[in-house]
Amino acid sequence: MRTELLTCRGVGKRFGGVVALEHFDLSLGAGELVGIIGPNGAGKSTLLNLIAAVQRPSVGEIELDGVRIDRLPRAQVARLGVGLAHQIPHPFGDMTVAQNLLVASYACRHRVPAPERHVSTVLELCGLADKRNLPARSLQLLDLKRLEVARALAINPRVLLLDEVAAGLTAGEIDEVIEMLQAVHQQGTAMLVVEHVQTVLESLAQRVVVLNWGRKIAEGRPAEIARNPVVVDVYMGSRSARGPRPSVPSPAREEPSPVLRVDEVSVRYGPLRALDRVSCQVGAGEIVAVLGPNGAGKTTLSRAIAGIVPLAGGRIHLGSLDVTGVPAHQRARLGVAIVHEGGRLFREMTVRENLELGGRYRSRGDAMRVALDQVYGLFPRLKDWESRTAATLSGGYQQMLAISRALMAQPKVLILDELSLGLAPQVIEDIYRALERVRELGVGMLLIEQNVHRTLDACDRAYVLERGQVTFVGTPQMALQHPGLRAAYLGSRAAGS
Amino acid sequence: MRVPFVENGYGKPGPGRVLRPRTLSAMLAVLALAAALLAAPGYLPPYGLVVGFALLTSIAMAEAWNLVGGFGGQFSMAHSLFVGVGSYTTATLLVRTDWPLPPVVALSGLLPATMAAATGLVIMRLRSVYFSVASLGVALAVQAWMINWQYTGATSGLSFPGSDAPDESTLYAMAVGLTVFSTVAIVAVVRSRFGLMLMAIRDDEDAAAGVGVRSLRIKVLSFSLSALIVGLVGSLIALQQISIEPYSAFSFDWTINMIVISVLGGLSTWQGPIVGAIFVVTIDQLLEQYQAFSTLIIALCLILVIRLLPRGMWPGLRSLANVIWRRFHRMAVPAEGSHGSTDA
Amino acid sequence: MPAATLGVVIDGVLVGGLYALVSIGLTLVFGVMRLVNLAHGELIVGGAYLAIVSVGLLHWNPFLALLVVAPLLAAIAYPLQRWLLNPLLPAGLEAPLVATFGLSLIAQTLFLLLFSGNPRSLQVSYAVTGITVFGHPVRTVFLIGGLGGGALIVATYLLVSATPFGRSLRAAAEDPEAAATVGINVPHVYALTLALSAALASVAGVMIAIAFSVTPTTGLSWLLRGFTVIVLGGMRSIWGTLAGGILIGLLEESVAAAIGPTYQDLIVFSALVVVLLLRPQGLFGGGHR
Repeated sequence: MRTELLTCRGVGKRFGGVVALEHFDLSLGAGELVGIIGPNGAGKSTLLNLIAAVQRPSVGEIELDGVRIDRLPRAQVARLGVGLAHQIPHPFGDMTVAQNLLVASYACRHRVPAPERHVSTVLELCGLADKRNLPARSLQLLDLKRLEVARALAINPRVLLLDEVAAGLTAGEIDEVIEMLQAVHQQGTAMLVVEHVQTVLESLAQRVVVLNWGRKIAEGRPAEIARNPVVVDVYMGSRSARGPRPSVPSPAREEPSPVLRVDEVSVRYGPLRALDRVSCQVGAGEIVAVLGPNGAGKTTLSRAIAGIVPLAGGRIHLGSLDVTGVPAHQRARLGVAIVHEGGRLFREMTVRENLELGGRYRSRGDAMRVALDQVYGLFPRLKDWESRTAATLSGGYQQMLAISRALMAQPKVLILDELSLGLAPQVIEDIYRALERVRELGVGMLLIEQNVHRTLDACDRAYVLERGQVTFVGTPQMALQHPGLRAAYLGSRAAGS
Repeated sequence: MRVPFVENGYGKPGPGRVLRPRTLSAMLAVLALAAALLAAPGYLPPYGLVVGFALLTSIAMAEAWNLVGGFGGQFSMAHSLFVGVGSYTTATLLVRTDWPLPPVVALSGLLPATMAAATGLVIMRLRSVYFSVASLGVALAVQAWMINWQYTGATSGLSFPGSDAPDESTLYAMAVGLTVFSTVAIVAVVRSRFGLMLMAIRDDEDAAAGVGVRSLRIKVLSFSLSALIVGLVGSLIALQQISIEPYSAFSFDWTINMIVISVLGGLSTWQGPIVGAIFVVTIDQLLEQYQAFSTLIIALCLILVIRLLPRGMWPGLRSLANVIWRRFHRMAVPAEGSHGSTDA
Repeated sequence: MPAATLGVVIDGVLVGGLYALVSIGLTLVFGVMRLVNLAHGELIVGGAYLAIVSVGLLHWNPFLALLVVAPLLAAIAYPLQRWLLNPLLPAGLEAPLVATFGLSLIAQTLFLLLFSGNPRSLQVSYAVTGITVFGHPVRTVFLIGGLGGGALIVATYLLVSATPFGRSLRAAAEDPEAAATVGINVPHVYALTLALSAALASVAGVMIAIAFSVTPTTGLSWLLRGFTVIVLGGMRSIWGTLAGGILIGLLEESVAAAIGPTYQDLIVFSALVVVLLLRPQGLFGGGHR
């Protein structure tokens, strides 16, 4: 016999015209661990936000132990015992780890009669005991995630909601997170775990709910779900349908006159060494991959090349020009283009305006027209949507627009940071196909990705970054064999995807 | 990894810090207190008492503002309102009733505190700059009202007989008492659980709500306590001036004073307002003949501090003291690890 | 419509146009840089004083003097933004706020030293003359102020929405880092924004010097009025500023007609508080904050 701790009935949420979630029912019993999976945009985060009262449902009811909580303010719902660990950690940066938790325990005094002791217990449980006096802002990603979970636990919740705790972590780090979650579950807390990464739920969940486009499409035990053809369809593999590129016998040798050369570059964030004497280069028409686990410094490298972060050492050359001290906007005008992680379009402007901004400094007059034609040739749908606001495009097309905006500047070097994050496999295919055509234009591309297989299928040469240092340079085939790569990514179990 | 020193109220001393912050602060506090008491009547000419009074009231007001603006992160521009209400409550009660001084003064603190609570419940739902602007609006609205309110004398204001007010020495002693009280109260609040939650709201109000912190309640309580202290200062000011009128009692200059002193001295430190007040009053005294220049210089210092020493003078002085101490000992003595306590 | 009401409406709209002009600089600066310029009132008053001095020296028509005053004020604003305020922007909300606060104090003190505390104004013939609009007497200066203000708002809107510079402005406002990586010199754009804001403020200053008068400390009440307007209209919306200005103008004139001018300020400030509570994003603002 199960006592229903948390129930959702007919819950739905609209944002303007977009339906994020609809007709959603769920019940969670005391001590249960239920997983929620689904592709990006399925409504998983929305669901957690609704339960935790970060947002209000447009329709439906949510009850905790028979008490309606869907119309209450966030803080009150927290005090009633609903803890939420966000996907992107937001600690109180200036406070220590322990103080972060103390705030929570003090605020929920009625649930936590002995705050200091509870905090110590939680710190132990989450593996942060030895870091209790460090300022939160000095933590690395894995520890930030631990802190996020710990702080939610500090309120002594009845229900713990976890939003993609494993996102951005390597499989090795994911192992540690799974251990932590198992320990938490053993304490008897009911948990609702939203995840993208299969391995987490395989080991933890008793029941899994699958969301797609805001609706529940399946529910059952993890093994059943994994076999369910509908679900499998939704999650396709991440390998290229065509397999690896036919290997052109291009050696892993670096070209003598590359369009981009990075020499012994170091970047510091305060005491933290994000990049340590990293060197790499990209030739015209080359696709170079930069791989590595999260926190390795890949995005820092792209920002350093773009000129957004200052260097603590080393030089960067664009062709024969030394651009080391040159500010970002001037590098852009010299031919460095970047597609940021997440696209970072000007969302309130139209497609056309975004493109024109991209081309403003390098493609004037007729050249603008030529650049636009080129870009529409690569992604024809964009032309249909010229006057639409960028924010109204779907994720895949936003990414295409971001790439197009970068191409409008007729760049010499194009940096693509985490291109495929959150995109459906088919969309990723389309984009990679477009990149082949960009290569033909002679643009050198630096492809920064966590998705190892697809990237290696596409590139000519690969670097592996770990903890701010280059640990490997070579052909894609060599990269796949590189033991260090496997260890960093795959951890103690074979990665699911 | 060397832990960077953070100045935000939590003040975690990291490895490498030699001079324990509490020791230095405590030393300075004791010195300051001794100076204040020693400078008491009998040692200083009457004019010295006036300057001392101005210094003490500045400190008390700035400490109070700093609770809300520094530790609380709510940039209030309403505080001149509380000064005025405190002054007017005292003056009105002395003029229209026979009440003895203690309840008069007490009410002069309680009334602003109540007003702060009522106002706060309304405007502290607003965030950052919206709150600041609303607070400014409220303060100026009330000033506009008081300028026209016949009951309190409109533009002519109120005056009461000098015999009703305590003499200079007593006034000075009251100022000392109030300053000590406000400083101790602020320190106690900041180091308490309430204080930790207050600072959490300052750092990230949404995250604080996410762990159950009662944001509005805490903000309003801090606003109220702050207003209490400022109201009491207003009362003392009225007792010193004997005659008040709305333009000066509710003048935005009070707010300017509090903000400038707190920012110069160091937001989110209790020592900051003391350092800032000493600095400002000194400059004022030195340039007594040239009032406008004194304001100019202070404003320039404000900009310099924001630009070059953003944490304020006190943290700057403390870092300097550390550097000197370390150099004096030639070799850093590794400090013992710190406990999870706050050092504000 | 009875004559009295029509009079209130006309007066309200015209003075509202002036208020919108007073406020547009605040909107631009807040919209692009999320900076609340507490020295905005001093920009207006500074423009007024500069105009008074120029007219005294050159004996030109004040609006002609603007050709000198506006660029001058813009030239002062540019380096202030570029080298004082820009570096403070990443530090959060407080530091730039306090810096503009400090600038405001410095300006007020300078004004006091240079011009003394007596009210000053620009004496022109049309300061007191009037014409009749729909049978209602209107001071010429208000007509110029209201219509001119409205025209400048429209011009600003066109600048921001239809020119390449305006696009750079909007891009820098939305995502400064991404803007830099497409070649926009963001610090320069920010500085130009404050310069533009100063130029617009100087026009408002001239109107105010003609229609009313200025003292070193009148900046504060203009700042507050400006805030009320943009809060009502939506802090990042140009049309909202125009609408807000007109609404405040109408409110003031109605109150003045109904119960006299004494409580005007009180009503306006109360309106500010009420709007902030009920609809903080203003009438035309999108998501606030």
